[in-house]
Amino acid sequence: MSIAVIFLILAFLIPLAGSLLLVRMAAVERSRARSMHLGFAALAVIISILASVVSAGNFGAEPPGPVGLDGTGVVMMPLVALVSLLVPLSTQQTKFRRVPMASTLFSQSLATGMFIFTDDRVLLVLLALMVVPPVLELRSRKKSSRVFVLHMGLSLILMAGAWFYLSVTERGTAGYRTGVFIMSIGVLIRCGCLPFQGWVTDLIDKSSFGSGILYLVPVTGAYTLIRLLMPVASEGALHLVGYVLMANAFFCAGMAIVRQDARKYYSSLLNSLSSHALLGFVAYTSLGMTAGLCMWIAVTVSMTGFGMTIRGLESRVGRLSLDRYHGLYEQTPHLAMFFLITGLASVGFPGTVGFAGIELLLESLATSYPWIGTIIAVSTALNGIAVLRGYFRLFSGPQHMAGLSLQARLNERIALLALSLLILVFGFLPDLIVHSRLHAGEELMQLIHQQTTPESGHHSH
Amino acid sequence: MNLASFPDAFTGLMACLSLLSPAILLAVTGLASLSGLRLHETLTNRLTAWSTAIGLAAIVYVTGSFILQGHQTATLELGNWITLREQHFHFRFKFIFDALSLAFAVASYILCGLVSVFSSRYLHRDRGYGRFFMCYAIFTFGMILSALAATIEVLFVGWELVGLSSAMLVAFFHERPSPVKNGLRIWCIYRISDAAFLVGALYLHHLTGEGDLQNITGIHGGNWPDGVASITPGQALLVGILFLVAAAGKSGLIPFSGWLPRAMEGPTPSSAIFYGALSVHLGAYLFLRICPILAVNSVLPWLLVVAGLATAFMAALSSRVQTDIKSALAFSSLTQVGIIFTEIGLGLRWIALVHLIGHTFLRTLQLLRAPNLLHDYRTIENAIGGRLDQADGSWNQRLIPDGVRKALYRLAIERSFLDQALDQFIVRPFVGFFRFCERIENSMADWINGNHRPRT
Repeated sequence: MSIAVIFLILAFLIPLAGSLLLVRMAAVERSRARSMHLGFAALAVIISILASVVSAGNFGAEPPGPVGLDGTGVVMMPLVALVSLLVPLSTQQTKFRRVPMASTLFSQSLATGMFIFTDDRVLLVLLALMVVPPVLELRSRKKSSRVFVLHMGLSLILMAGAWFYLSVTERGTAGYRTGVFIMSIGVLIRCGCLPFQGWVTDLIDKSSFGSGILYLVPVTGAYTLIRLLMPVASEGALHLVGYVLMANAFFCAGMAIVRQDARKYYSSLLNSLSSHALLGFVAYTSLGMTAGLCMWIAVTVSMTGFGMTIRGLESRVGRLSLDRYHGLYEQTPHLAMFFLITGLASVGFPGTVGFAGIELLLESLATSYPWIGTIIAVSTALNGIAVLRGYFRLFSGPQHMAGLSLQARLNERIALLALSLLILVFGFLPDLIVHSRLHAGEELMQLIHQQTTPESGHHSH
Repeated sequence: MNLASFPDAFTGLMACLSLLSPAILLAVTGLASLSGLRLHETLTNRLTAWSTAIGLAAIVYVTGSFILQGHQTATLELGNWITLREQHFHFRFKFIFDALSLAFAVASYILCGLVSVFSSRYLHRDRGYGRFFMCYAIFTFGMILSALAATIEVLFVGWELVGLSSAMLVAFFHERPSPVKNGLRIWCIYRISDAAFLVGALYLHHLTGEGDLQNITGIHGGNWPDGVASITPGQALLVGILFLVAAAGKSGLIPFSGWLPRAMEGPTPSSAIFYGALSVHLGAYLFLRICPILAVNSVLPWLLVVAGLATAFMAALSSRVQTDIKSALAFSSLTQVGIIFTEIGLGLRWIALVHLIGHTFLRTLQLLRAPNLLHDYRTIENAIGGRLDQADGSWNQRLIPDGVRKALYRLAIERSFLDQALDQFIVRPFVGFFRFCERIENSMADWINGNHRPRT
């Protein structure tokens, strides 16, 4: 067993072990549980980074065994670990009770597993297990989980059913095309695409904000699309999926502009931006794949920070409505600045992490699908409007009067500053990620191509 | 970094300095804000003054050197921001120094410097002092990038920076809802304009295979404004229309004219510099930069002429009925901008450039002087104990029939109903549709969750 594989298994096991240890303690001793959680999460970040560094030279071609790391996971695995560390780190002391530490680590472990286990059946099992923590949390908060369970259940049934059906069906037959269609529906539900976008809004509305961010922001749907759909779908099928994603990007951008509730506003914005990342993949060119991978990183980093600022404000003044001006600027100038930086980064403002992604995406779409590219440019503009609308509604208006300081706490500042630095460093030096993403994108295309050629048989068998 | 096209290496270094100076100011103020450090007013003033002075001195040196040595054009390459060789994707940091860019950059530096000095007193001890100068730094950097851009991508970056800082400055007095609403409205128009610019730039890139403005406009090796664009008439029309939408948004042409008077909600210095003088001309500057494309298609220049004349007519009419000085000046500005677009459409590029530069200075002076002028008027009227003579409007009563005059007055006072039209035909249907979708989504979620809400 190579050192890279050992690190990868450790990156999976450490948060899992942490979650098992905390599952009893969390109910008894909140502060201790939290500090232990942070310790485990930090260790997982370090191990994930080490695993990525060690594996970086090996990714590409088909992973040799059941455990491996492709070009996507090399960046996304440490990023997911970092998000899982920063979100609980920025949690206010008064809100410890609402953040289930054990399930956060459990989810982190599953997300890590998704990137390192190469068998599609394991991926499907992990996707199914990932549904458990949000459902348990919704139940513990006495909220209905029907919308979430219905969508996720349907998605899993369709994906698993299609996967097994496709594995026994000959490529190019009508049955195979039907299987691809069913798989596409399953993946699109998982991605929260139109008309199945309701579960994203419902989840973020009903769960704790932190858990919602942790479940949604890593955009696991993107990986599902890469691993399960792209190896089986024809170019025409991907083209159709591209149109659905385009419609979703535009629709959610429009919804983000009219939303009155800050959480729903966030969910629409996130959903629109996730569609941008997915569109890069379905463009199915090396430039498109690079764009998709860059956008994925940008969405993860920026929307984590964006969500954290809204969450920080919520923890101070309660549930936020965007139908009035809250006037929070003077009380929370740092959160205002982070809101603007992360929001602008998410819509690809120059000098931020999102800029390279959106430029590459539009360039790749201009070549393959000019109409989709045009609509994406418009939806990016709408997302930009939504970001500034949110900023003005939250931070402008008659000054909010508070009896105590609402300033960002040190732990919040550290978490948000870390994300802002990532946003700016990758924004000013985009080549740091673009080249590695190009390499990863080309390797992924090669891998998918190998899986789609009739000689190599079906994927991961 | 390649300085070969400059008359000498020192001039090339000065050209670099003219770009670096506002970048350093932005980096310092930005990092201070990010780390939570509140810069003292004096330090902010000094940083801004030194940065602007150094940038201005550098660009004036480059201009002087070009004039004295009879040099016409030079380009500065600072490397690639993003390079994907096999995919033929390059984001080049390339800048051009020619008659057009130098004139616009010098004007930008002088006016920005002037306004920074004015603002340091005007906003003394204002709570938003640091915020203002942060936006000022973004704006100045954006303007210089736009002025000196040699690729469409760099121009877009500058364009975006100018847009963001402008919207934030209109909403500067953010405790009142009105500036914030106007700031958001302006941002909406800017984003539409940005989307059109981005799509135009992408198509241009896609059609010509590059974003280098010199190559696209055929000015490579020659001098502005001579050049023959290397695209077909159909392509020129498509790209030209997209850029016209972008320029219309940025420069307040019809149907987007309503944003300019709204922009006057910001502090006077920012109104003067950002909307009255510099950013409002950015659309015209874009067309001056890509003017050889206009020559490729015979329809495109006439579109500019029509848009320019219609804007000039509407703005001239509206400026006559405004009751506050900043709105009157805003519409006067629009009138001139409309005429500048007409000049560009008619192929009078040098006249348009001289008009543009002259107008930026005149309008800055007028807007900065406006509050004092009102004060002076009041002092004089108090001294003489009555109103000063008003302009005699009897000529139009004699020449224009009563009914037409009333209709024109209504048109002018309602600002040609442009804002109402945008609200009626774009904003309301858009918002209505998505609110309807939201209601459907909520009903579906409630139905699945078993929460039946009574109909209200």
